[in-house]
Amino acid sequence: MGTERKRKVSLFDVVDEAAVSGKISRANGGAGMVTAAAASSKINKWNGRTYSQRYFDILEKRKSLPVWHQKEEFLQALNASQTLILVGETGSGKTTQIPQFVLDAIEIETPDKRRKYMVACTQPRRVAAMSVSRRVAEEMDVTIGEEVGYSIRFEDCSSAKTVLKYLTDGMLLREAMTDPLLERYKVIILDEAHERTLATDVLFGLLKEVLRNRPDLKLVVMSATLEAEKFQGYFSGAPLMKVPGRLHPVEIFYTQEPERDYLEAAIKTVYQIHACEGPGDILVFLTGEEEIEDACKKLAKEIANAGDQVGPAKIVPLYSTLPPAMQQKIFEPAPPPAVEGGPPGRKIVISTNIAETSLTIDGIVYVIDPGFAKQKVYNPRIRVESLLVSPISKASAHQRSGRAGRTQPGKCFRLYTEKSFNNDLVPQTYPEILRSNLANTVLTLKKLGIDDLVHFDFMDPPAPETLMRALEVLNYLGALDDEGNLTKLGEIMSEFPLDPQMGKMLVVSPEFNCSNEILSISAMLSGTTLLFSSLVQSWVLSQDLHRSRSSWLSLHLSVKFMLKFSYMHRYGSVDCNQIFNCIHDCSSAIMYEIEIFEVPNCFVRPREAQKAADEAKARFGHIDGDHLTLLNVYHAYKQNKEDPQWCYENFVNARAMKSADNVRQQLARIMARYNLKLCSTDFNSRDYYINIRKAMLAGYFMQVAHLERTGHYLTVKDNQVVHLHPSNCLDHKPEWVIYNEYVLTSRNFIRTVTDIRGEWLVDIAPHYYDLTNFPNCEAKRQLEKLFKKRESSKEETRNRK
Amino acid sequence: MDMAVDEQRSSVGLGLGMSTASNMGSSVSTPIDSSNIGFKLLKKHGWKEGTGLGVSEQGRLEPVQAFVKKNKRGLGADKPKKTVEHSKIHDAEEPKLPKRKAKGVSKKMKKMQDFEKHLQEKEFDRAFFREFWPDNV
Repeated sequence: MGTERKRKVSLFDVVDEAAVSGKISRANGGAGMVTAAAASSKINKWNGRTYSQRYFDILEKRKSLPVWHQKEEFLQALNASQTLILVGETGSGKTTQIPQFVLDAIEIETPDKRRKYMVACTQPRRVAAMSVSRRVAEEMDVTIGEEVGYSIRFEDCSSAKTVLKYLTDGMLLREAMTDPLLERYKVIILDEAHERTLATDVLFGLLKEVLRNRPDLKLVVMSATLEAEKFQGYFSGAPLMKVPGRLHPVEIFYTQEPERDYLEAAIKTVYQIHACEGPGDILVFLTGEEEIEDACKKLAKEIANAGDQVGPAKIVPLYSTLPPAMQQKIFEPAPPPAVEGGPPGRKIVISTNIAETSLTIDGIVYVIDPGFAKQKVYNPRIRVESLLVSPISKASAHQRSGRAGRTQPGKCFRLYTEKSFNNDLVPQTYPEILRSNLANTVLTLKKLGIDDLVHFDFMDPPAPETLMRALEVLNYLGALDDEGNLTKLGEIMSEFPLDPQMGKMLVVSPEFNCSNEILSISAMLSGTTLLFSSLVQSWVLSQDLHRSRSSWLSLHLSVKFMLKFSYMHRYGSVDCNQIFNCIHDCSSAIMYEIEIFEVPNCFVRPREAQKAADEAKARFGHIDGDHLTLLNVYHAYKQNKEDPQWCYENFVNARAMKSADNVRQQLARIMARYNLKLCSTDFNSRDYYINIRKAMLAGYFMQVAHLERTGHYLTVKDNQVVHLHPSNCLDHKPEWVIYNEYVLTSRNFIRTVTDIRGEWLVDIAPHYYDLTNFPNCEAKRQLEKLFKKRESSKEETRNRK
Repeated sequence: MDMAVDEQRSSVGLGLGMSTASNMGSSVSTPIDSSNIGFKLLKKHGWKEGTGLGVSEQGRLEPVQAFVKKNKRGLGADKPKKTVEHSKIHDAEEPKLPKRKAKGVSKKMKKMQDFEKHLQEKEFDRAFFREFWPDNV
C-alpha cells in the first residue's frame, strides 16, 4: 500500500528513499503477523465485549497509516530506552496510533494487580484532546470516558477504568501538583512537542526530574521534524525515530528584490499564477482579518478585469472570526473551466497562519508566503502581552512551503529574497515561554516544590527580567513572601486554574462580603465557550484521509453536516455530544478535529442584526463598568432560568453562559475545599457594588489606569498611554479604572474596565502604591493628596478619642 | 491624521521617561531596576547579575523584542531603518524618523513616503473601525 503511493522526498524532508521502501516491506510483513494474532481473538481485552464489525473496518484503515509500518521498530525502541523521540509529519497517524501501540505492549497492571497504570498523551489544545480521545475510543471499540478518556481545564471525562487519557499539557502540569511523581502513569507521551507551548516546556524540565526518580516511567516525545536534534540534545541523547510523512517535492522561488508592499506583491503573484500556471489551488498567508478581506476584494476585482483571459476563481478567506457560511467554502472544490478546454478554474484560499500547521486543505499546489504572521509577545519591561505582526521563522517558512506538496509536487513563492530568508528570519519561532507572562507558571513551579527557579532545567530559559516580573507580581499579590517562599495565600491561589490576579480576587472576596458575585464575574471572564460558530473552529484534520475523490466527497459532506449543527449549537439548542455522534455516524474514515474556539464574549453580534444586538447589550450595561455588566448578564440569565430562548432574544450566547455556569460551579468547589465562605452583601445596600469593586481591586491593583488632565489614560507606574476600548459600557470617563486586558494594536486599548476610587488604592494596596518608589506623574500627585487626606483623617479620629 | 497626533503624544510621554530613566514610567529600553522587588527576589533565588537562567546559566539575557509593524513593507525592505525601528513599542526616537529621511531624498522617495503615509492612514481608519466592533461573529 505504502509503496504504491508515489512517495517523493521534498527538499527539506531528508529521508533515504531506498531505506524507506525497504523498511516498509519489512514492516508490512510484521504488521501481517500482528493482524493474524489480533484476528484470532474477537474479544476486546479492554472491556471483555466482542469486537464490533466497525472495529475491524476501522482497523483496516488504521493499518494504512505510515506509522503502522514502523510499529515493531517503535516498540523495540521504547523497550530499549526510557526516553524516546519520535518525529513524524502531520498525517502519519502518530497521535492516534502510538498511544494504542504503547497500550498493547506494556504491562498495565501494578505489580500487586490492584490497580491499573495509565498512559497519558498530552495535547497543546483542548479541542484536540477531546476529539482525538473520541476517535481513539472508537478505534478501540470502547466507550469514551471509560477505558479511554480525556481531561481538560474544567472538564474531566475519565473514570477508574481509564487506561489511556488524552489531556492538555496544562492539565498534566496541574496533576503533578498533587501527584509529584505522576505515579498513576506508566508511559507519558508529549505530543506536538514542536509547538513548544508554555506548559509543554515546563513539563520537559519537570519530567526530566521525575524520570530520574522513577526508572519505571517511560517518556515519548513526539514532534514534527524540525527541532528533533535539539530535543535529542536536551534529553541526553535519547534515541530518535523518524516516521516519513506524505510529502511531494516543493520548488521554492524567491524574489530578486525586497518587496515594497507585501500585500500588493501577494495579490500580483496570485494573479500571475492564476493566469500562467497549470491547474492547482493557491494558498496565501496573510496576517489578519482585515488584511485578508482587503486582499480578497482587490484580487476579485483584478480577476474580474481580466475577463475571459483567465479561468474562473473562487476566492476564499480564512480566519478565526469568519462567519460559518463563509468558512464552509474552503472545502468546496475549485470551479470548472468556464468553457470546455478553457483556462482552468481555481480555488484561492487567503488565510492566517491557521492553515500553517493545524488545518490541511487538499488540492493546494501553490503557496504564497510574504513572511509575516501575528505573534504573541510579552515585554516584561512594560508588562504588556500583545499580538503583533512579526517576521516568521525559517521553520515556519518550511512548514508553509510544505503545504504546497500535500497532493502533488508544488511551488512556493516567497515574497522576499533568499538573502532575507537567510539573514532576517530566526531559525525557530521563539517558544512561548520566551514570549509570555510567567506569573502563573512561577506560581505553579513554586507549588510543585521547585525552589531553584534560576537553575531549573528549561530547554530555553526565559530572560531574567521575565522571571523578575513574575516574582514581583506574586510578591505584591501576597503569594510569595519577601524571601520568595510560597505563602498560605499563594498555596490556595495556585489551586485555582486562573491567573494569579483572579485567584487573589477570589480568595479575598469573602473579606469584602461578595464572594458570590466575584465568583460569577470570574466565571464570566474565564468561561470560555464551546462555540461551534465556524469552520476554522471546526477544522478537519485529514489524518488518515485518502486523497481519492470519493473520500474527498465524504469529507465534504460531513463538513456541511457539521456546519448545520454548528448553527443550531450556537444558539444552545443541541448538545455537544449529539454533534460528535452525528459526525461519527457520517464518516468514520476521516480523522477530523473540531476546534472549539474559545470565546470569552457572552454577547452575540450577528452581522445582520448589529443594531438590535447593541441595544440588547446596552440593556445589561452598568455605568460603573464592564465587570458589573457581566454580572448583570449572569444574574439575568439565572433569573430567566437559563432559558436558551431568552438568550437568543437578548443576543446572549447561550453556550458561553452555560460554560460560565459550569466554570462557576468548579470554582465554587475549590472555594469550599479551602473553607472560603460564599456570601453576598444585601442587594439594596449602597455597598453592594462598592464591595464588589473593592474586591476586584484587591486582585487587580496592578492593572490600573489614571485619567490625565489631557484627557487620555496612563497606566499606573508604567505610564503607557492607553484608551478605553470602544466596547465599554461606561457613561463617563472615570478618574481611575481597573482593566482586565491590555490590547496593543495600532492604538493601545484597555478592555473590560471598571471605575474605582483613588482612596481604595491607598487603602487596599498601600504596599504597591508606595510613593517612595513611584515614577513621577499626575497619578503620583493625586495619590500624594489621597495619602495626606488619609493621614489627616486618621489624626482627626485619634484627636477625637 | 489622528494617528500621527497620537503617536507624538505617546512618544513625548516616553521621551521624558527615558531621560530620567528609573524615576519615570517603564520603557522597552530600560531594564528592570535593582530596587525592584522582583529583581531582589531573583537574586535571593541565586541569580547573579549579568548571567542567564537555566542549568548552566546559559539562558538569554534580554527579553525577546517586539516590533510594531505599521506598514506593509515586505520582509527585508525595512533594512535601512532597522536601527531606528529596533525601538519597538513606542519609541522616543520615532518622531525624528521623517526628518532624517527627508534629508536629501529623491522625489521618488518622497512620493513613496507620501503614498505610504496615505496607506497608513487608511489602514488606521480601518483598524479603528474594526476595533470598535471587534466581535463581529
